[in-house]
Amino acid sequence: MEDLKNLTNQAVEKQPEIVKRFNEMIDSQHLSHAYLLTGAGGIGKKDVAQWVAMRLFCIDLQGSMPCGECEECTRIISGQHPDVVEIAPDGQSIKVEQVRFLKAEFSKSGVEGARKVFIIEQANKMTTSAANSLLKFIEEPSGEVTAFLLAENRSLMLPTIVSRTEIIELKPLPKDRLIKELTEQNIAETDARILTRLTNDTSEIQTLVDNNWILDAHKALEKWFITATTGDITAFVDVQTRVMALAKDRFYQEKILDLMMLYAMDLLELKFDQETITYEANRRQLQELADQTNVRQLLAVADVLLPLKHQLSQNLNFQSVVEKATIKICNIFKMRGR
Amino acid sequence: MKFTIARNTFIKKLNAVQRAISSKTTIPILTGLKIEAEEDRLILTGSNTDISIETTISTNDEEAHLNIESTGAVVLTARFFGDIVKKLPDNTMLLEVKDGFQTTITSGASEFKINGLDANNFPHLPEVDSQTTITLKADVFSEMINETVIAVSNQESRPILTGIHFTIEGNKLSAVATDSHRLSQRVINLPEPIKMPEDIIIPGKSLLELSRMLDDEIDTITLQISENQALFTFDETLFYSRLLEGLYPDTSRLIPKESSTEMEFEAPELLASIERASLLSHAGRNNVVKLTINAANKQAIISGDSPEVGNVEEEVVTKDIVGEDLEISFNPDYLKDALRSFGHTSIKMAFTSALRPFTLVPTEDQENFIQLITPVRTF
Repeated sequence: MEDLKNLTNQAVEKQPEIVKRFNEMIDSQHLSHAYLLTGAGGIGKKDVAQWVAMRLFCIDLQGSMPCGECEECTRIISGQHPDVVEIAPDGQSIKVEQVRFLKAEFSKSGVEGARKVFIIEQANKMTTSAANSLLKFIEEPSGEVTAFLLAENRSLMLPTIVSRTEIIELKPLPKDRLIKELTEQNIAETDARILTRLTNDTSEIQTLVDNNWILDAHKALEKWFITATTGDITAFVDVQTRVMALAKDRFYQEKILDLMMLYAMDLLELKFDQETITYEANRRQLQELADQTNVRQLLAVADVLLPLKHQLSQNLNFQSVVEKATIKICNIFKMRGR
Repeated sequence: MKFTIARNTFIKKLNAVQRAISSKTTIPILTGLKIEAEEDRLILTGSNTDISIETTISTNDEEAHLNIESTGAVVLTARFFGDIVKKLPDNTMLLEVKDGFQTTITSGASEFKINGLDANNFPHLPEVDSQTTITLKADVFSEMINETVIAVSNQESRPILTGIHFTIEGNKLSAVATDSHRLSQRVINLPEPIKMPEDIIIPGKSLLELSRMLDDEIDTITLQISENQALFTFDETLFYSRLLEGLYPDTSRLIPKESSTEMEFEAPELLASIERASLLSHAGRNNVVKLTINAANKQAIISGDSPEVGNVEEEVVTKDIVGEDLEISFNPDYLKDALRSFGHTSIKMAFTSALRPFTLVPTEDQENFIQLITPVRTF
């Protein structure tokens, strides 16, 4: 039970504006009965839903903020409150049995009071028939019910569901906050900076951190980019020997192209005397490179790299796309250094 | 918390509370049993959120030999706590909770240490303010449940029909259940008129569990209603059930007022005939039997025809038949359930036409108990 005590609700830190909005809705009693909260993973969707539940149930409100310490709040945070029903996919999808349970809960009165809150995580993982069977309950629930459907993107949800909910899009977390969170997990700040440029989704970040993928990718691409930008055609070989091992599937391939693009962007930033760059560790080398080249050359590099993602989406082979780009970049920088 | 108690009494109370505890639950703490020691009594609580059972053992209870040394509360996992208590060697047991909810159970030479949970995380049962209290005979109420629960729907598409609908008008308490194919209604006369704030719908499953707890030793049961729960009190036990929310369909207009054909018979006689006829209808694809009534000859024939397996025909022993001739088909299982709920009594069956619902009422008490069944169209 000890670890339950360390759970906290981060809605206020992560989504202060949304929290403020809900606060006003509750104060003016304009809380509607179904919300669809959308936004990338780790953005605080569940925190917001739980915060609203705490705001409604807390027996020791501090002004308009739930205390987070009373037994109602602690039970909500630890998922033990009988009138705050939480459902998350069991494996790949939300199972029929879980939907049955949900429907039964929707039709019954509360356990402790009249008010009930439902939180359905990854609501897009319901089958179409399951989602449709919930429509009736979401549309006209009996009693004081507030349902939160959480999904990454509203386009993943059935239009019939979307039209019956109030949609609230959560803003991505500020970069600084994400970097701070990552460095707290023992990720070097330079890597954290690169990761936050790639994605805002904490679950994606976790995938990239796993098995040191981001470290390896950073090393490999550093070597590749420095070689290519000296006009050295051996960069072509690096694609096969270093880069391909990292490009396990489409997800990683896209991230590699993003990482390459970030190099080109850094060069442009430095050329125009901007302070913030992604690859802080390579600042000296990149600065030197930017000084020795002209704007036209740097834009040409960006021109080569930009269309790659689109080509990948058209099912062109990743290796040949990158190799072709490598030759082009080498050609741009051929005259440099001689 | 620390107390000693006679194991027999404790086990008896524990068994009652364990009815409400399920090992399959979404909230982990609900697999537990809450034990609370106050100055003069011990309270045991179990809940699966649908129903919650709370029972009290008083220090005045002579058989219990309850001695409370210090007060407090803890939640213990019900499954193995129950097993432990049942297998302890001595007649008395000592239960003590130390810091961090570690619980020691001592009896004779045996000592168990098990981990408990914080009782504050256990659901809080609502306080029911007793504005309306309905007092009922336990056996009558149990009968009422068993007679109506048969018609409760078990389909999730219309959750409201999975409950029994209770209403009070003047001094009549009525219970209705229907799954839209059949309906069962029972009325009890109360000694004096009572005003109930609004009608309530209690899940059939909860009531079935309640009726199993009402044994011969229990004389009266009281019912109180809060905004979200119904509370039944008997002996030292409180039985809470959540309610179903929504509007129950208006069933009063479904019951036909007139009839064109009436038939009287002894319930067990027809039940036996129907059971035989349903042997074949169960084997066939459509579960349907046909009742052919010839009023002039005072003859009623039950027949089942399942082309795949064969057919059956049987003349029913009746006491009286009046009205017009009729051929009507229906699901024999509905009639079986209805007849069983009557027990050994004489029944009057009333029909209006082959496609209209027919009713069954006891001949002696035609007002208070009615079973209605919808026929099946076969042509």
